Amino acid sequence: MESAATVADLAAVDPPARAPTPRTDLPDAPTVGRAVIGFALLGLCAALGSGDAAGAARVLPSALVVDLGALVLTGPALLVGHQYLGLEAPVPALAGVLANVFCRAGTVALGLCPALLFFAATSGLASGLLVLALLGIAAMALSDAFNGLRAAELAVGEPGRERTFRDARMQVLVASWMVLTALVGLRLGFHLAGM
Amino acid sequence: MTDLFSLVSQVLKDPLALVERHEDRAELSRIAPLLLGIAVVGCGIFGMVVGSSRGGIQLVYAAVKMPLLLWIPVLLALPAARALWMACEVEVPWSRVALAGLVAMARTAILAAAAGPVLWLFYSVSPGYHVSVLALAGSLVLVGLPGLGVVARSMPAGGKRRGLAMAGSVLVLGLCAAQTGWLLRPFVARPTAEVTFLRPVEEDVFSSLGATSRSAVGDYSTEWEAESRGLLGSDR
Amino acid sequence: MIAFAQPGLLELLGASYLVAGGVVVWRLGGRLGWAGTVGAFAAWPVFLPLLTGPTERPGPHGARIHEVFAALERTLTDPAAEEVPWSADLGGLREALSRADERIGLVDRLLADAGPAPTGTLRQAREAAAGELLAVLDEVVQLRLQIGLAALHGNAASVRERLSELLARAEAIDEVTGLHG
Repeated sequence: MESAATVADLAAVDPPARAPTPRTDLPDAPTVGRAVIGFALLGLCAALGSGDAAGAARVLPSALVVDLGALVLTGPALLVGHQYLGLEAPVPALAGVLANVFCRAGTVALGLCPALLFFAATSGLASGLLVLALLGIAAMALSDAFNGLRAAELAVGEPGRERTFRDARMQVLVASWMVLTALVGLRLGFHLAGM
Repeated sequence: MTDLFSLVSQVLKDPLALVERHEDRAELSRIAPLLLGIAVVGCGIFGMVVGSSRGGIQLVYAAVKMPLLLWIPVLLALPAARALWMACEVEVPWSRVALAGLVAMARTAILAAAAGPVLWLFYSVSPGYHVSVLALAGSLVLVGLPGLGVVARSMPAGGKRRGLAMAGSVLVLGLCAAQTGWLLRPFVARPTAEVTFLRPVEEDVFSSLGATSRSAVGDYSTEWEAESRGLLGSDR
Repeated sequence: MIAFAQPGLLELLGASYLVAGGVVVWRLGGRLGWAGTVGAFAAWPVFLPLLTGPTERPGPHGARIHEVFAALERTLTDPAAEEVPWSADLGGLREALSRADERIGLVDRLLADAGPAPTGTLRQAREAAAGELLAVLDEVVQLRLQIGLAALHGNAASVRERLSELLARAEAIDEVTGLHG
């Protein structure tokens, strides 16, 4: 048995922080609703500052369409690729990671609404700031998803060579999915911008 | 009154302990009005000093607007900051965010009031308009940093990518503060301009900075015409 | 002369802000003095936490709980502990301990208000609950060592069992303090 001093010493020394184990349970309806409202409101705030009706109509759904659309369009591809490569994390756990990532991103979007509304009311910068906000949120969400999905895969099975090999395949799969999601999101964004 | 002086002392000496002790809601209702009062008075004093660069009614205008220059960015940035911290898996109760924001505002206001005589001395030698504006901006950054530190250190331990949450919060606060300053201008009135409480809502702080930078290096090739922007601008 | 730039929308926004402040002041009732009322009108977002739910008072061991769990979470997410596949409900354990701690805090306030009145049974129950809570927290600290061992020897099952056992103990304290508090 360890001495009290050893225990106290160990408790006092914090190892370097790293991504915590992800939440893999599906978020409840109010949390998902809050995220959807967050993206919708972010688009609305930017639309209010766009100056003309045609611009507002394009900007209004942009945040929700880009983020939710990219996730909905590419999520199934990730799950199919995961099963095809013979990886072992349960599909509901992967779906849970993606859903939680979306909810966190939506919470950030909701938090940014007052600031964006302020810029929509007092300047012509709202659309530009919306793009900046969406890029930031997307980068954070994709990074979260990478860590979360990888951790979900690692949570299955015992340590060993087989798990290390699975981890490598999972990293390649998730990285490819991230690129696809980013490209789909950009395409949706360009489409909404009329480009 | 003793309570107030003791609170001012705590805000300066140990703001984190103040946040920890008063996070409780009943305590928050007791302390929040006092902190707001400190912020308004401190900013008001600083505003009067800034207004002294022009004198007259500008003393009152700047004193009234200065607390808003602190309050509006905090109001706009705190929801974003809380959301960013929560996204980084740091659960922050709204009461803690609000109290940290209030303590930070009060701290900044006290420091601003204390820095007032230095700025007044500087303005008393009649520096140019642009130098006066720069001195104001520099002073606000200097006194604002300790306040910002309070908000950063008030966040609970744990989570991940705390640096990202902090950088995001500072970015949002900085953008909002810059635009609020632009919206509430003039603080340092131009010597030749008519004194007004607020100028029309036009352009934004960044296009103005760009035009000023070009002018400063003698580039007058692009004429900057301030036009009405945003919902408030188009409402004219 | 005061030259207000935007009379229409600006005034509407200002009025809406003050109306929201009025609603907050009205909902707060007589809880604020005159200074608080003025403050709530002007800066009502700060007073919003006062409207949501009952007053939260952290228990006497809140800081310790926070510290121990923050350290444990960092250990579990350390690269060296990556090989430990744990799935126990750490959040549930922390929540159960926090709930028990809140109730201990409530008992503390009751005892402080009671003054010299006889409070023997309540005091004993409080001491027992606080002792058990601290014991569980010590076990959580020890768990960090066990995670280190599991990372070395791959004995992950014992970590899971230990966490489950601690959760049961924490829930038991919560039930006991619930009955007495």
